[in-house]
Amino acid sequence: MLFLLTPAVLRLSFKKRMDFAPDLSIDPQLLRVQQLFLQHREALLAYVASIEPNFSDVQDILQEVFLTLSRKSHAWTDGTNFLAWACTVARYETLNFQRKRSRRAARLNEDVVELLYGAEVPNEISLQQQIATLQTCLGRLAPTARELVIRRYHRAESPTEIASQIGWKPNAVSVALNRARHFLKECSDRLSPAPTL
Amino acid sequence: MKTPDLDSLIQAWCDDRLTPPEADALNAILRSSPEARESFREATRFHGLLHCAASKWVVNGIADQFAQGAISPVSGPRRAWLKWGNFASMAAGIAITLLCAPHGFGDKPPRILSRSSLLAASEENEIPAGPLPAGFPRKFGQWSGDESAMFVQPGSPSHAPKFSLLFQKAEREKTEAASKVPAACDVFQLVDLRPLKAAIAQGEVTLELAAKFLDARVQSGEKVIFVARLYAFSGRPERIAEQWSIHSRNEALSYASNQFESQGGTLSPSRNVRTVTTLHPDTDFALVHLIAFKPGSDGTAAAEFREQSVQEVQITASTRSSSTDWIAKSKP
Repeated sequence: MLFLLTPAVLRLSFKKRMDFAPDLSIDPQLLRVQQLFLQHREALLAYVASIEPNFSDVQDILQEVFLTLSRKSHAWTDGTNFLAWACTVARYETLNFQRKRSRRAARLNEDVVELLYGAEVPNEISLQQQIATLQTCLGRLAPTARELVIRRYHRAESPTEIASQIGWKPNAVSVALNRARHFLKECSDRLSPAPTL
Repeated sequence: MKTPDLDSLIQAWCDDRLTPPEADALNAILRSSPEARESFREATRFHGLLHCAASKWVVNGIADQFAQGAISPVSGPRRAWLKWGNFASMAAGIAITLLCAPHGFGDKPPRILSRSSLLAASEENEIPAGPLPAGFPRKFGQWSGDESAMFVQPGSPSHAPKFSLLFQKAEREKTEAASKVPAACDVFQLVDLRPLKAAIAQGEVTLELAAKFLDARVQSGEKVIFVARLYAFSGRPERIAEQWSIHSRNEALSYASNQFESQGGTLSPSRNVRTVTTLHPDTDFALVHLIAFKPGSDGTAAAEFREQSVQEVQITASTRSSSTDWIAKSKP
């Protein structure tokens, strides 16, 4: 297979360098909201992932949350709880995403999601501590179990996909993942005795 | 049928294999029992935290290796398990940029390094009219994919014609996971970024894809979703070309996506969809992926398109302007 490498087919033309004057103006309120989003992105990621179990979809939802927060940036008042506002937006975006993808049948009902998460705002400091603790615990996990956790929780592979790639049965992957989660939970509780969100 | 216990249902939820009857059972339990809600909240909180921790664990492993000089920012070896997911790669982009630019990038104005229109022909860039080659592209700068065709836009100059890319027929991926999603008409183009390697290796380059989709139906009808996606990869494209699937985005160093939903009619028949990603210093090439699909189709019958097209596709590489550039943004 030949990939042509001549400048003629390298589609980004250097001739056009600096031909354009980029727009540098930016709304300060929009910038502030986007900065706060970045500051709290892990809390929001964890929050969305607690409502939507498909991690590939979680990434898409988080992008929608970013866009919605940007569009609604003037609805937020500086000095109020940004994370509480962003979590409300994230919850609605998640439900909206699940509706659009026709996933509602195998998801929690909207009234149940409200019961579970309606009044919850993650504690950013506690959350960062717990993520750091979990990273330590991941280092203590057996290599095979860690690979399963990385495949499931980082690479967003389903137990069925993992099973087909490593030659296990899907049920064996689920059982091993469950054991790994128990180990990590116990390890996390041991290293941080009283975590609260 | 025996009702599964709460622990089994929570485990099924975490593994994303909850069936609709199990979801009904879980909803009923959570509605009626505050204790069950607390158990579920605790388990799913942990599930979300583990997602963050696993990504961070991988990214920190890479950042540590950068800091120790174990990985060259241009062409270093990569351990087999380091196949980054989307968010992690975005986060890694930020982490690595911070390592490379300790004074921050927020105060640097953006600068366009290069811009190219992928539907405009020129002496350097021939675009053949007619049906697109089937399958994944085998060359840089070539459109190919599912059944679709290239037409010259009426009124465009003959010496530098502009083209419209008409979606024609959705096809279904053969993988098991893909069977759950509607059939889609996918078209691709590979973009070689190696001429920008020096700038990309600094870790401060963003790549923006802008695609102008048109739904020319006069009467409103079935919903069609147009998607503009951008992936950045390292290495050579053959590996991606040989085994492209919907999961290949997990192989990408970074990824961005945005979409436009249309039901036709006179309201907003066209939309410029933009998406932008920060390029990891290892990036060698990008993949432009345009999609049209009807969310109602279940994949058993291939959807056909007649009036849905993309009128303009532009790709722009810039030095980044602020820390907010790493995630997709839309300017409809």
